[in-house]
Amino acid sequence: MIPVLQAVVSRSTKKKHTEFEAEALPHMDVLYNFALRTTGNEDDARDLLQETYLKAYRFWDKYEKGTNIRAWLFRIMKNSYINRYRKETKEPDKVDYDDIENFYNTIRAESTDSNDLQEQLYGNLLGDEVTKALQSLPDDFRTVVILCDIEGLTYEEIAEFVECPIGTVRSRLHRGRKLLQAKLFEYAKQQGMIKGD
Amino acid sequence: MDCNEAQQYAGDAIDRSLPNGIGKEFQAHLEKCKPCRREVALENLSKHMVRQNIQQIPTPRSIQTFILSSLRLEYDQKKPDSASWLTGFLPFQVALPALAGGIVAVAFFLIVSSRTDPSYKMTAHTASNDIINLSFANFALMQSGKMQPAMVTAAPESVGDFFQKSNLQFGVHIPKLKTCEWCGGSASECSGVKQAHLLYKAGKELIYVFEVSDDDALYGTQVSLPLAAKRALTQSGWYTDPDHPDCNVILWKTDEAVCVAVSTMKKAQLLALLTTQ
Repeated sequence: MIPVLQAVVSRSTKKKHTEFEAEALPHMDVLYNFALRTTGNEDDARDLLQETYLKAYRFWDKYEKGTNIRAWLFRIMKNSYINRYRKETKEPDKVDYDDIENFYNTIRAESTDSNDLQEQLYGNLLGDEVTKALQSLPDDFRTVVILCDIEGLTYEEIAEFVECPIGTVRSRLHRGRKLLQAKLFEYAKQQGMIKGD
Repeated sequence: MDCNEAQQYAGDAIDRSLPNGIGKEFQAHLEKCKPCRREVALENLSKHMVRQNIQQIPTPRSIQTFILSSLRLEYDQKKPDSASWLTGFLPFQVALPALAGGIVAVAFFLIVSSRTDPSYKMTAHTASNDIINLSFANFALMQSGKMQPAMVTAAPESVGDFFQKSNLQFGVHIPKLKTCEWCGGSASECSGVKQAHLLYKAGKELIYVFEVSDDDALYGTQVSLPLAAKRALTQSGWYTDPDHPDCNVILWKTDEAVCVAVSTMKKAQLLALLTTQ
């Protein structure tokens, strides 16, 4: 390549690098946390984060300036996860939603009305159990629970991230939290923490 | 409001706020209906337990460095697309003829010009004193056992002491690689260039690291590096050689040395080991 053309290409490429880093890198924490909660371990989270940023850089020309870049990055991560990790790992056991309903009917039937539900049901259930319970949720439910309850996104933002209607976000959140409660109840029972029945 | 409607509004009541009229109806229903009240409390508890037990954590520094290094390697390897930058400057109808005209002009210039650009193929390393070739050859010798480290230890600090006593006249970088069972070191000199050799055993994989002083690598005449490698090392401190299909060659620069790691380990894994020391 002759020197003049090389200089022009160099300037334009450098501009692309600077622009990309300035816009995409500030969202690394959110993406990393999502990768960690989704894959369950630091090594896979790191690899997923790397794949996401490399793809984002390669497709930087496809990103529409001024639109929600976090949502764009998140969609790249979600698709990378589906393509690579979901195939490699065993799918969580299929959820029998009837079991969950039965659990809830048992809870609802109790006559005592306690303000301290956490103390009553879970005692000293550790953070690890909560993480495990979250990890065990089906991907679609886990995603919305993470985005709402950990990242604090609004329903509208979540809908944009996962590309589904707000009604679907509501429904998945509701069911995801119910599933989570049922899992935590199971862990607490296994560890003898449930007080009374 | 009945129980079905109340359940539909539960999420909004927990995460957002309900419009005034609906909010009052919802509260009124909960006051009368213990099962719905309990179910909303359980959903709220679920949110509370997740928030209380799983916090957002900052990306570890080692992972930040790893991501930045990966991006910069990507920048170095990506060849500019001559069509795309041109269409950024000119409309499509003009770009294609302009590109064709440009190619003809360049070809004419090269034919009539007596100058040749020896650095035209920037990644080529065919010279016998090329550092990448030397590293690759040494790795093959280490793998076959024909070349062995002078000393082997489970403690990387001991390798550092060994190199200090070897008087190599540059600071040898001793990568502290996680998951490595042992490492070994040797020192040598060739055509006045002092060299350090390290060998790591990580599970079933061997990682060979070759080091020379950065002055010799970047500015000397006894050993050479491809131009692309020199530029990348100067700008970002890292370079991945693209020419070896059966193993990975990664270069990096420290304050005093240029280091070359060769391994059959996967590139991402090798990069992770080298950047999280």
